[in-house]
Amino acid sequence: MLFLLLGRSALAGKTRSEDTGLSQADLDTVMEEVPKGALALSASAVLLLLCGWFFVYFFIFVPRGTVG
Amino acid sequence: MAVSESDILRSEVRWAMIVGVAVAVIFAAVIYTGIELHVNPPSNIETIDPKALHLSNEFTESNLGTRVEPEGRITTRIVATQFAFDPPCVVVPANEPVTLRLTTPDVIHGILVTGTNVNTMIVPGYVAQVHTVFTKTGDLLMPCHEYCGLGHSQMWATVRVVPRESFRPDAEGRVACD
Repeated sequence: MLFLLLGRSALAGKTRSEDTGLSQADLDTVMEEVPKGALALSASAVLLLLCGWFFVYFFIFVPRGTVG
Repeated sequence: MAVSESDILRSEVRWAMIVGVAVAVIFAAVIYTGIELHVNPPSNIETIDPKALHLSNEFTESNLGTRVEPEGRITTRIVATQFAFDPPCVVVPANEPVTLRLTTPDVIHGILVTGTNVNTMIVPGYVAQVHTVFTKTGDLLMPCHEYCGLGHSQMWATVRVVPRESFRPDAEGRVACD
């Protein structure tokens, strides 16, 4: 939160495009890609977790036999 | 902004649906193995007086260990105490339904049998019961997995799984190690 506030106050006086030479259109183009990357990353993480769960469940837990 | 609020909402809804499907698939797998493969958490609510185990019919010293009941069921009775199991070694047959019954006169203990799904708490005042089928022969380690005091790390027993033809009950139906 503090980081966000500091970041906003820094941007209040001067726009980022002045610092980097990037136009607003450039930034918009980058932002369009951000959600796709985040989704790909989170989807991969969840997929790996699910694969791990199913591997342990069906290849380790279930073969160990019935219990009840 | 290139990404609108509706875009964000749409992606969040999609993501929630994906997570919902993942949780549903896991639930389905657990229900399938529970119903079809009989893999369930051991559940038994049965009370016993922990101060009088030695006077109870079932957990007297002479009745501990593995026994083939008159109706053919194989039951293994074990008392967990600080810091040993009595008996320290039990014999069970492979590929036969076995019922493990455990209790304790002192503090909370727990057991697991390595390489199997046998895993339960042993709580004073209650009888823990696990039904299982051991499929691999050999000596399996059965340690106490609930910290029960300074000697906890020394508290373990052996479950000796033998082929059915080597499982020979005596006249009273009992089978013991050695």
